Amino acid sequence: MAAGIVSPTLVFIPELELIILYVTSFSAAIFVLYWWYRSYRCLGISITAILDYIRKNWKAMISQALSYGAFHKKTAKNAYAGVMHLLIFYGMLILFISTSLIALSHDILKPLFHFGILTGTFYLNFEVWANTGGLMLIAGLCMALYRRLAKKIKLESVFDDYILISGLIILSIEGFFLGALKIALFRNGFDIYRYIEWYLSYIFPAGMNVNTAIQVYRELWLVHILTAFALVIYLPFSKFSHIALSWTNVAIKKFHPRGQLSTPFLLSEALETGNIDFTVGAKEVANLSTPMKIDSLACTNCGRCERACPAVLSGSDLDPRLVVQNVKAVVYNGKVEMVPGILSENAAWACTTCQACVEECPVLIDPHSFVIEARRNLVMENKISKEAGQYFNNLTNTQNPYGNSPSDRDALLKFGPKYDSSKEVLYWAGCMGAFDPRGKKIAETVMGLLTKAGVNFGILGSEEKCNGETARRMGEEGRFQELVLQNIDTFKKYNVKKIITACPHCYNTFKNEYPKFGLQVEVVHHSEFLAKLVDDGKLKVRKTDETVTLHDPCYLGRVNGEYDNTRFIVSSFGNLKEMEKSRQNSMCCGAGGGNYWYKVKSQDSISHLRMQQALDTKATKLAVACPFCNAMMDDASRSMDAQNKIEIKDISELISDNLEN
Amino acid sequence: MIYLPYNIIVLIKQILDIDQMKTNQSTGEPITEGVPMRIENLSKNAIEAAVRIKEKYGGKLTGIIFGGEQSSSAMKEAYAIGVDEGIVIKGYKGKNPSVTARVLSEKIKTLPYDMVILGNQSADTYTGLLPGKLSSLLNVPLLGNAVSIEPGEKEVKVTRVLEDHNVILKGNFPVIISVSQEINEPRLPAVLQIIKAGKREIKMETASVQDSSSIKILSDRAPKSERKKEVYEEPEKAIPVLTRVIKEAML
Amino acid sequence: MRGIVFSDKEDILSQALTFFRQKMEIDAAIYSENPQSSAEFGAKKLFFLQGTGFSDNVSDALLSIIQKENYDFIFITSTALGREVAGIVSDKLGKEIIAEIFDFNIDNSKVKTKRFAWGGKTVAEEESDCRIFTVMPGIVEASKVPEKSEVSQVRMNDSKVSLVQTIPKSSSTVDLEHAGIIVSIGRGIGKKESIDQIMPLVKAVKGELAGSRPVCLDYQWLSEDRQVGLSGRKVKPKLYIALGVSGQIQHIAGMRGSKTVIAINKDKMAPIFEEADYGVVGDLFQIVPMIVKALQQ
Ligand SMILES: Cc1cc2nc3c(=O)[nH]c(=O)nc-3n(C[C@H](O)[C@H](O)[C@H](O)COP(=O)(O)OP(=O)(O)OC[C@H]3O[C@@H](n4cnc5c(N)ncnc54)[C@H](O)[C@@H]3O)c2cc1C
Ligand code: SF4
Ligand code: SF4
Repeated sequence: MAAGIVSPTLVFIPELELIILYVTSFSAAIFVLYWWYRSYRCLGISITAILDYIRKNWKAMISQALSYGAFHKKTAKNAYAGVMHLLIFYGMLILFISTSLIALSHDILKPLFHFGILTGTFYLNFEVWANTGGLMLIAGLCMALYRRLAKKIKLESVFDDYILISGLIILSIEGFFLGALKIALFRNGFDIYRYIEWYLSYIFPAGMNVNTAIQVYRELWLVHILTAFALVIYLPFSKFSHIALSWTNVAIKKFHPRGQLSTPFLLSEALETGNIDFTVGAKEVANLSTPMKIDSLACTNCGRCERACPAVLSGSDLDPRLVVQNVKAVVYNGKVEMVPGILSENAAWACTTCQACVEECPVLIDPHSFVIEARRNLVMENKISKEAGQYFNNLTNTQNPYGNSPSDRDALLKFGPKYDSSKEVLYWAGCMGAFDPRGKKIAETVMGLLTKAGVNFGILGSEEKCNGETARRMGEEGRFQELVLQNIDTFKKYNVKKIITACPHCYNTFKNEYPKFGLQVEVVHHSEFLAKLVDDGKLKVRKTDETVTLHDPCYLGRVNGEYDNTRFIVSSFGNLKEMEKSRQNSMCCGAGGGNYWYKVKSQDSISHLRMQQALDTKATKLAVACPFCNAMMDDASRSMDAQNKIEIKDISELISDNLEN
Repeated sequence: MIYLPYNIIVLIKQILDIDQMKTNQSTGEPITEGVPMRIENLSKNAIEAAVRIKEKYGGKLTGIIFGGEQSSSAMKEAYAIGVDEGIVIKGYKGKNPSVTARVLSEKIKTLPYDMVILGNQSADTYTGLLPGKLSSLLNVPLLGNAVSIEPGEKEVKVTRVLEDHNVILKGNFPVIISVSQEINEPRLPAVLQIIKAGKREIKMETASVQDSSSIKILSDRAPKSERKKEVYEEPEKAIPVLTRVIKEAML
Repeated sequence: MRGIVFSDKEDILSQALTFFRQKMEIDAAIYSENPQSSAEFGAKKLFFLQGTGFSDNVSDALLSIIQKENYDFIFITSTALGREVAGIVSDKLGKEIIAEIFDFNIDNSKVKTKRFAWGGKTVAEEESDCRIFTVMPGIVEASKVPEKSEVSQVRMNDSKVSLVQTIPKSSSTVDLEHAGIIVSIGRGIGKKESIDQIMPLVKAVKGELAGSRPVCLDYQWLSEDRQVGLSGRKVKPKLYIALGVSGQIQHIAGMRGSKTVIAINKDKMAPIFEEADYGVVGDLFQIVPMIVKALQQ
């Protein structure tokens, strides 16, 4: 029996039609290839540059293409969408392979070498796989359709999507019917391995006229082929363009620490050479860097970024998906102003730089970088709000955002000694630690704990200056770098080796941004340092039966991947009850990216949304690890009348409250 | 060639950053040491107003600072905002508005101008005398306390704010215009712009100044600035105090 | 000794006259649309300047009066016009001037004056031979005298500046930055309707109403342009009355510049008391009516 297992050749498809098929598929393939090339060519990237790039980076490209493309390292994050995408992706892949095998076997090997490969057990396997692939594709497509029709989530569905999804469903169904008809015509027992088509074949009447059947088959075949080509030609204009462009993007993506923004110029160099004729930020789409433009091409309009973005959730007019899509739409011409062409001024300031969008994007786009480039230009054009202006002014005049006298920082010297080279670690209190009453209390607590644990630390007092984080994220690169240079000088003067920071923003900046300007020190956030002290038994905490929920600060969690120290501390004394959005999916408190210092137009406030999520856990304490989160949550608890329901505490205060002695 | 319809002179004052200035805890005297300098608030409004006119109609902006060596930093910032040519006159010693007016008017007389724009008062002394003094010395009409400026061909229209109403007035060039704080929101140049502007030349000149003032400062102290923190737990006792305080404030 | 006070605001003129009539024989000159009561504050002679006045022609008229009467002292109240006139007059007379005084005494032949310096951070007390001054509004509370001034009219020349239009100030716009007294409400007010119970106080003190962020932004009990604080207005009134405001740092950031602060809060530990000159611990709904009553007496 095994010998008889052979895939039947399509004898009744006339040669002419087959020739037409191959000519068109060949041209279609060229068309798609050309379109792919043109997509980059139009950004000014030459074929030699592409080839050169591939030659140099092919290893990384293959591994990235596999992990992010084939294995869906990020797409699979969301269960429904992940499964859906996997079904469609692998369904199509399997069908593509099967179709290619048929072509190879029937139209190349058989006519030329008179043997086929689709025989025997291999063919039976092939039959099962082909049917499974079709089934997966249809299932995935139905999931996609359901997602759009049920409207359970906010999903931007354009008419194109429906054409595409229904086109593909039709294509797959046509395929099944073709197969079923073929089975009905030849009815070989082994065809039962095509388990779907086998049963489907019974809808064709057993005694049907063979000629009519062949006629029907030929027509259906033609329709099938035409549908397929229509879809191929349509590909560049549809969501499926991402098969080519997104895959390219994930393959060529150059990774850098998430907490590091691009550096448009080096102030020290500019001051030295006197060469200052560079543009900063993007006034127009054309001014965006080529990697960013390539990024925009890869956007599949999937909306994951949008669904995670706190600025969207709070009803502001920022929408990271639209930002990327708007750039994509005009990326070749580029003669559109970022503000207001791509996003409004309000939207540009609404981004909290929480990087939820960066975390979400399955194809490794960094939507928030577009916002930063827009801001950089707004600053250069002096288009900033009064509050933002005041912020920059204060920074320039007093090196802190409050405009308080720099010498006020010395008040902290009451709680900790001045740093000198005999000290092992520098405790960096930050501007909140120095000037915000609540922040000051936290700094005091941390210093108390450090002293208790016998840590040899010191503080800089009035020699501390704002690290410039917020200025950088607000687009004022020059002010940022001024502060960087001043602080690095201070660190060098004291030969600082290790810094503990009170604030995740200071932490991220020293860790990820300062090295570029010449700082090489070990940086830890106080949560890490204190967790270690607790772990080592230098600080002993007692167990309570408190239920505590935890808010992950964006710049500790999502941006720097540190989730465990805070959890360790909470669990050391209480019962941790996670919020629905936690760890990398945690939601921003609303303060980042300068939003603490000015107010943008929005319907709700981000902090209230986040507070509600904390309240939903029914925990009596909310642990935070950032002075800004602390202020935002405290304010939200007041406005929401929740002060007696939940108490907001820094992780250090929780240790201190529960110390054994 | 660029058409330059208006010659505008902006007068810029550089002051100690009074927001950063502290007073001695025990004596109450001001501590000026180590306090950085900045462009005075209303001068910023004046520069901004002038720059906006230039941006809208074209023109040339000459900035003048009567100050010292250190005033070039303020001029750089003014350049970054949009001033075309800067003159720093060194020799500023004290806050004698007559001297300032004399030095400035002598310089202004050597320059072509349609408008002299300056702040109506200054954030450190509030005297508000300079516009009047210049008007008298230059014999040029003063359109004061402006919240909007609309230059025409031969004349300029200005909206002037007064205590209980506003008026629109008109005067023929040349004029002196003093601006009120509400006229605009001064832009803040980015650091890079200031650095770029810093490469342009600043004319440094020196004025010889004799100041024969009869004014002798007897004392200069912070009125007890700390909050009094008198907290009453019985309202009855508080009411007379509160009424007195409120009545004083209502004067 | 004889002096003259010039003003273009009747209320400020009457305050200055009340103050200076105790120091010397005083005359007055006023430039105002239709002065009502200027003659009742103890000026011996009162000159009405007539015509449409700007700094140049007002100064000319004032100078002609000064030359004729030969005064020892010239006081010009600090208004927009007053400061301009003072500049011109002092220049024309070639005399030294001290601006913005709020106290004045004659000691032997010297004059002792007080004014704010360093943007209001300090008070400078000065001794000088100056004869001409600008005077801050509100130097004392005005009070009338039985005798009326002897009134004469002075016609002014034409100004080089011409008037195009007069625009009345719209009273609807909130101008917290320039308000003299601000009554600020916090969450302690409880609900929007309760604001009605505060309004009598706001009216009695002729103040502006303001609020904390929850009140203005989150609950929208007041419009957003009335929010004081870090993300709202930065105000510096003479008097700031905080009712049911806890005094979080972000609120304080907006009102730190206030000259005097009164706080009413039922929580003794509220941080606002750290930032207050006068604090009352108690229910604001009880205390506010008591203040209003006391003010009306
Ligand atoms: C980035 C950021 C920016 C912010 N910007 C601002 C800002 O610009 N302005 C601002 O105000 N806030 C701002 N906040 C909010 C600030 O943190 C506080 O949440 C807010 O100021 C609290 O407002 P409140 O004092 O009205 O309310 P609460 O803090 O709740 O205080 C209410 C007070 O009323 C008292 N009270 C209640 N009933 C009575 C009664 N019957 N009689 C007397 N007293 C009573 C209570 O004892 C309590 O002290 C900001 C917060 C953040 C995080
Ligand atoms: S960084 Fe955060 S706030 Fe900004 S666009 Fe991305 S998700 Fe939205
Ligand atoms: S930027 Fe990324 S996450 Fe956002 S819509 Fe495009 S592909 Fe999706």
